[in-house]
Amino acid sequence: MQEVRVEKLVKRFGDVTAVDGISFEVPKGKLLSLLGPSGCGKTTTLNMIAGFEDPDGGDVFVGDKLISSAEQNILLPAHQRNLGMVFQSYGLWPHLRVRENVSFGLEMRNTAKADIAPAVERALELVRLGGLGERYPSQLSGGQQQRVAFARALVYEPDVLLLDEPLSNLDAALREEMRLELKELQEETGITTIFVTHDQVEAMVMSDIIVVMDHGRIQQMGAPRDIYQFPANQFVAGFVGISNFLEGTVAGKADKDGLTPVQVGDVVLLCEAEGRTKGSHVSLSIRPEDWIATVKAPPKSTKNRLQGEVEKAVYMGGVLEVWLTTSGQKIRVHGHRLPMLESGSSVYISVDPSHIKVVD
Amino acid sequence: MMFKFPSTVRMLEWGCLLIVGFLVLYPLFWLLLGSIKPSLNSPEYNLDAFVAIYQAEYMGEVLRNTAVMSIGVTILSVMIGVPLAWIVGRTDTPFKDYISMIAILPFIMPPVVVAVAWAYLGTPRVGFVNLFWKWIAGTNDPLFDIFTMGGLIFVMALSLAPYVFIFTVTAFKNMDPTLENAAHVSGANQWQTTFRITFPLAAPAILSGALLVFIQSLEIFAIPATIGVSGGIYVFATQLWRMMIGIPPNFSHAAAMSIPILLICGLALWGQTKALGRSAKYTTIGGKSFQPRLVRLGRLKWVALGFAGTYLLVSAILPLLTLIYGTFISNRGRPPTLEFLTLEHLREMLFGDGGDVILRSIGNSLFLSFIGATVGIALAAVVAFFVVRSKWKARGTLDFLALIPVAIPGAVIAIAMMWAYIREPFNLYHTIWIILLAYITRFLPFGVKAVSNAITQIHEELERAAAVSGANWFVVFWRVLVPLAMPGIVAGWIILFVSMMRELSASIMLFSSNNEVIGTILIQLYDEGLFSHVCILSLIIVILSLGSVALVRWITKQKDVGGLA
Repeated sequence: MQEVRVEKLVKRFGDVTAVDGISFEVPKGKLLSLLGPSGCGKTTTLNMIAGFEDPDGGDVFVGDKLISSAEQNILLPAHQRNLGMVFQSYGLWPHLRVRENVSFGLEMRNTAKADIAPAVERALELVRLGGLGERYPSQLSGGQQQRVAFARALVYEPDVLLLDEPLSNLDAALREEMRLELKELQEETGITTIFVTHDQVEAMVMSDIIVVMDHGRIQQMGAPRDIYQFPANQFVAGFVGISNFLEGTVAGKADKDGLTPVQVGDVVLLCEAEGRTKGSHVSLSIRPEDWIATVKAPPKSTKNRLQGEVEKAVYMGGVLEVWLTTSGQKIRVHGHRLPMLESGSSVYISVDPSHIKVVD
Repeated sequence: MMFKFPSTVRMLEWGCLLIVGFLVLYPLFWLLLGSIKPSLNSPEYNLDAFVAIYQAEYMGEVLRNTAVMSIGVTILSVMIGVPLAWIVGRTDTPFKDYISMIAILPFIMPPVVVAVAWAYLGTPRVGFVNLFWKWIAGTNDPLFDIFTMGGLIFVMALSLAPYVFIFTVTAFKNMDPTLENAAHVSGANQWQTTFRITFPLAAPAILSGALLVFIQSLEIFAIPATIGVSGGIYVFATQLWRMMIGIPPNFSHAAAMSIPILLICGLALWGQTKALGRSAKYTTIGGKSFQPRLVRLGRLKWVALGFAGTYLLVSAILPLLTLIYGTFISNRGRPPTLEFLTLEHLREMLFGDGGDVILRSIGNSLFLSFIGATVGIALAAVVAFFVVRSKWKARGTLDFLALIPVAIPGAVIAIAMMWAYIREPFNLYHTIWIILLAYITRFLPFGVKAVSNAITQIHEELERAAAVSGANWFVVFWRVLVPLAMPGIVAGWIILFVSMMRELSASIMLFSSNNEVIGTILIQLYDEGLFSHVCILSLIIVILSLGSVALVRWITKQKDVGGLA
């Protein structure tokens, strides 16, 4: 297994720059997700690493080996890169048995005949499909086909595993199960993995590092928790989880607790906005679950206390999602202990200053 | 319980099933009966005819010839069609758009045209190709003799290879590129991927094309009748013909001989549908995909281009040049120059001796094809509608019945028709109507296919919306479905019309004096050695076919008429 380094990768399709100079590094044995909406360039990036698209600029290293470099005109064909890949539609060969699908990569590596059968059996055991080797892919369920695809990608112990939205073809329940199983599998084999997904929950659950992409550029890179708690900009805050964005201007200097007042409409919110000068324009991002909503008025001393009018409330099972307006601002709040609220009724909300993120 | 009178629609469905069932099964019934009756109206039944043909001295040779020819043609067609499909579907060979014209070749150049043209090109002494060879090689020995088993297989494969091409190229183009990418990423290089993944995935498609070629090789009459008979090689189709034109015609032997061939063709068609089903399983694109990468051939692409060019040259360009030469050039055997350009041949054919017969045959063909295509497509439209849309349990049976004629060689249909319609209450033998019935029966499957393709593409909600608005079955069919399916119906009509214009296998058995058609006259003129007459008539067929292809493409706005030809 090896680390992967991508440097200033560029891909253009005609006038459109699909991937615009992105760089990242996946340490040995870690799982990195490329997360973003469709058309953000994540799949194109993966295809350039795999060798299915020719980059217009930048380098790809696996370990110390340069496998692709537009500047030095190096372009190792896909079959010489020693990668494993699981495709969105699995790409199992319908004319070959499960066993033959899995052994293909070993045969291409001229593995001794005697070693192939046990290796295939081990790979199938690993994905809990022992004994199904003689079946054809069409005789398996979607989840089983998916596992065959993993066994096929892992059997020859590639340097890196590439996953192209491998869970998106499964139904919701199975997808959740496979997420955890996949993560266990990755940790068990300790294989360096790059995972493409548009599902932020999937990325959160599975990744060591998340790279959030939009318009061919990296918007933010970091551990899942950091991405969620400290979104670098409005796009990340909006794409990863739900967020309320409030536009405001800095209304004064920070107090002794380091809290800065920000004027939002006709209310003032205190938040940690160090280094912002008075009068500068800021966006505040607040997660719906960070608001504390109550029907009775909280004590006057509560910081960032607002009163609002319920526009509508939807029960989502365990959580009441409330859309409310307060001093001209629309805010979405998730309340866990709220009674069902009528629209037009009054509700109090407050937010701890540490839960307000100032983003650009 | 009260008796429930069947609805009008159900009665229509039954009527449709009865008509198709009668058209297809009634002649087959008499064919079966005919094979166990010594003569047309004899009251006895026995197996004498089977015994007689089994013991006949010619039988061994005919069987051997037919087997060698059909298997040889199938193998050679695969050897030509598969590489061509790969070149067009998967490589960066230049001029691919022109090469893919191969798909419409069978429609433009029917077997009878390729056959007569190659008879003139490949005659040992004066064939154009042999003359050219003698001139550049400076010898007196011909390059080859077309009137041999090898020549027969060669010309037939030229004519039939496009079927393998059509099926295979479709499979190559519809293949999920992920399957090849998965092989690359697993460590397979370009050639390993091609031979371990690409070709095996196309195998069912190749098989279904090959089986269709096999059926066609048993069915085609024109090539064995010109190339084969001239070389003294008789195969199944020409042997049947020999039995029927003998004096007296040997109906019961012909019927007996048809039965095993019918079984073989039926079996091959069954295998072909199975293979096609498997092919659809292997080559349906799933989910998002990007275009398959084309194999970069490098210098080999010139070899590929040469291969495709050679095929087009020998299958289309040389035959066409021969026809044009024979039509417009006045001298024989000397280099064609403008001073020999003439319309004399045309005048002579139409207004000279026997011109009236030729004109009459063209008139007959026009009449038969016009009526036949119109009646055929109307029946096909109703059948297609019930097959695609009806919830009726018997629609599967209807679909199957309407497909059967594909597996019946034209000569066999003709013999079955003769047994069926020569007697009361029809008495159609030696009339033009028996030919019409044969045409409608033979080409019904093609009409059904053209219309059902069109209906499948119409969203069922459009019909339901009309029904909900208060339209009954007739109004839905006539006001919604027919107008929407019109391009498919018109295309189907044209396909039927052209197929009937040049039909030969059945016509040759059924025609009679005054009831000649273009195909039968063409064979007669060929037998009489009237070179320029044959060329003119063939050229007319080609021009007619070309015009129809253009028309069908324009009407359906699709590039392929492939599969319908």
